[in-house]
This record gives sequence, structure tokens and C-alpha cells, in this order.
Amino acid sequence: MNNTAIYRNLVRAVGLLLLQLLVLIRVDLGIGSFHYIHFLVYPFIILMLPVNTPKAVVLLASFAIGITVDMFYNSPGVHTAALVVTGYLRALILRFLAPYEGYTNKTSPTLVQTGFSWFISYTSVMMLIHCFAYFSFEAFTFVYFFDIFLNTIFTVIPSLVLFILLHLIFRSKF
Amino acid sequence: MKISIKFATRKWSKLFPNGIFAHFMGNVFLILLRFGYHILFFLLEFVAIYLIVNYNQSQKEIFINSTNILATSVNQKVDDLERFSNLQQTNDQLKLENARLVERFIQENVNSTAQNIDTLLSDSLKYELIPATICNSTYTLRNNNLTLCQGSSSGIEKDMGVISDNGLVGIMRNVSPHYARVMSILHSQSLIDCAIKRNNAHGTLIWNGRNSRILNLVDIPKHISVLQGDTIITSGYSTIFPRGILVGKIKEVTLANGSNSYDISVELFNDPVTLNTAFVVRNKQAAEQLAIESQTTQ
Repeated sequence: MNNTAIYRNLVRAVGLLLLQLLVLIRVDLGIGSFHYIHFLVYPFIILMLPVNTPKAVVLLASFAIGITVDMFYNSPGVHTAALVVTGYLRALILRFLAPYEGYTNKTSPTLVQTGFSWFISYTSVMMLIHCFAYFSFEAFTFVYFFDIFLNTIFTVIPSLVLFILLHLIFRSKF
Repeated sequence: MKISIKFATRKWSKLFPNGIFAHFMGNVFLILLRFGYHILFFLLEFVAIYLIVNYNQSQKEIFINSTNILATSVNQKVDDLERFSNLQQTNDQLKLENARLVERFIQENVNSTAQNIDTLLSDSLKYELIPATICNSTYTLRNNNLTLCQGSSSGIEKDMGVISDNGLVGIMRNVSPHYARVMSILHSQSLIDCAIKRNNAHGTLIWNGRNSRILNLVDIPKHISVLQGDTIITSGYSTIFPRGILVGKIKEVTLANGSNSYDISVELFNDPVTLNTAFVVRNKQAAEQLAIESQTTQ
């Protein structure tokens, strides 16, 4: 990982955290009793880290970002626990989705570098993991499994759409 | 991975020269290198869950309650198991208690008919019940018998009556130390003196061998009023059964042409086919009564 990549990821992290913690935290799309739509874009910080980032760094970054988000959401540990799970499973999912030639040293799992279909499958799997973990930790019991399920589905899709839009707007050459 | 491990060991063996400590540290480092990522994950996850449980009210409550639910369910399972293993004991105890209650009931009946202040005041009960389990029984033959799992070691003797909690079972025929053979009321030689509760007219209860729920009450003269639905009880005119044990109710009354007595079919309150427990009735004064009766007839 060279300096450009570090710089790029830092900027992305700050940008997404600001968006999440200043804007999306206030967005409420509940209609009547249907209140399952949430926007979670901060997991994309972890998702977009270069493939060859050391696993321990991914975990520590997940922890740090999770703690930061939790501070603003006033729910100590919930986002952290979910994001650490996501960061832990990232390596596994990346290995499953590895292209035939393998990853190069410079690969980042971004839309421009990897192509649309790979990007969609990777981000949707990771977001499903993250949202499921997040809502499970939030409920802290599987008694409300149906609620957890609905929350997961209705959070993954808008978050993914939002992030892809952002990704296309702030398009980079890499 | 292998290359990096080799590299790491080489590097660390320089830092820690020979000796057990060096080996130990090298091993620790290898473990960390290999599983450090997973260890780190569990560490961070543990911290996160610690935070969740300690600083979030609802999750904290759920955590505490869930552990309670777990503990209670385990306790309940153990409790169930314990109760199940004590079931036999409990059952025996209940049977004994039941026997005591029926004894009381019999004594009340005896007392109310005796109208004797001495009997009313006397503490000792005339009848004692011995709870017993039915091990074997037939009910499809013309002459049916039962086997009880208690014998003379429990105080059972020949010619005692056997009842269930709501009806008659039979009369004791043979007793061995641990088993007893009972002549069922569904037996051609079973003749039990019964009475109609309403007017105290008494006759003999026999079985005609057809239906195991229907017995016949004979020898009731035709001048006595007999109604369908009348309750039949034991008359207490022998040493075998005490007075007042419920037997059944009259199902059908017929009077054959030229006959002097009714032909009454009695539907039993209990079902002899499905019984599995019974009480053996021990009449403490039976010997005395039999002795004086035999003296008088001689």
C-alpha cells in the first residue's frame, strides 16, 4: 500500500464518517409502523480497503471506526461488534470471490478496478453480513428474528444504492 | 505463510539466543503469527460485547434475563428429572393416602348406620385398606381372575375384599408372600351381597358373562320399588366388603312373567378392564364376627 492509497482511504473514511454521523444519523424514512429503512455507509470504509491490507490492521480499523460511530449513535459497542465481525469475515469473502488470476498487489475492491458484477456481489454479501450482525447485536436476542431480517434487507439495499451513487459521483481513476 | 514463519523464527532466534526461554518465546510468537488475527478478532469482539452489555440498558437486561432463562430452564429440567425418578415413591404415597381417605369414608358409613356413641368415639377403624397394584388380569373369559403384586407380607389374607376407588374388584382367593390371586367380580362364582341405596333392599350381584361393564342384581322381590338409575352399594352383610361402597347404577329393570323377583342389570361405575390399582379391604373384626356366627349356627 503506497502513500496515495493510504491518503485515498483516509479521505474516504473521513468523508463517509462525516456523512454517516452528521447527515444519515438524522434520516428517518419510517412510514407508519414501517421503520426498517436505515442508511449505513460507514462499513464501506472497511470494504474498500486494499486487498493486501494486513488482516490485523483491518480488524483494528474496524474497531476504531465502530467505536467512533457508536459514540455518535450513543450505543457503545453495537456498531463496533458488528463492524469487527465484518472486518473479520472480509478476508474469507475476498478469498471466496478471488478472480481466476488472483489479486494483484495494488487491487482495491472498488467499482472501477473490479467491474460492476464483482463489486455488487462483494458489497452486497459484506453488507448483508454487517447489517445482520448489527441488528442482531442491537436486538441482542433472536426472538425478533423477523424484525432483524426485515431490518437487514431494507438497510442493505438503500445503503448499497447510496454508496454506488457516491462512488460514481466521486469517481477516481483507480 | 510457511516462508514467513521460517523467516520469523530465524529473526526471533537471533533476538532470543539459545535456552528454554527462547524456545518458549519463539513458540508464543509462532502461535501469535498463525492465530493472531483470530485472537485479535475475539479480543475486539469481546471488548465490543462487554461494552454492549455494560452500557446499553436494553441489551443489559436481555443479557441478564437470558442467563436467568437459561439457568431456570436447566433447573427445571433437573427438577423434572428428579420428580420423575421419585415418581414411584410419590405414587405409593398417594395410594396410601387414598387408602386412608377411603377408610375414613367407610368408617363414616359404618358409624352413621350403627348410631352408636361408642363406635362414633372409637378411634380405631374397623376397616383398613391396603393399596395394591394389579399385575395381571383377565376379563374376556367366563371366569376371570386378577393377580396383585402384594401378598401376605403386606398383610393381605384370604377372603378379603378388593375394591378400587369407585367400585368393586373382587374377592381374595389365594395369597402367597408376594402375590395374591383375586377372583374378579367377572367370575361365575362371584356372589356379592349388594343393596339399592334408596330403599336398602338387597340382592345378590352376579355376572352373566356377556358385558364386562354390566352385572346383574338378582333376588330383589317384586314388591320393592326399583327405578332405573338407582345407585347400588355394597350391603355390608358379610365380613368381606364394608357397607356403602358404590358399585354402579341400575341400567335396566325387567320383571319376567311369573317371576317373583326383578331381573336388574347394573352398570358399573368403574371399568374392571382398565384398572391398575386396587385396595384390599382388611376387616379387623372379621374373625370375631365369623366365630360368633359359626357358634350360633352349630
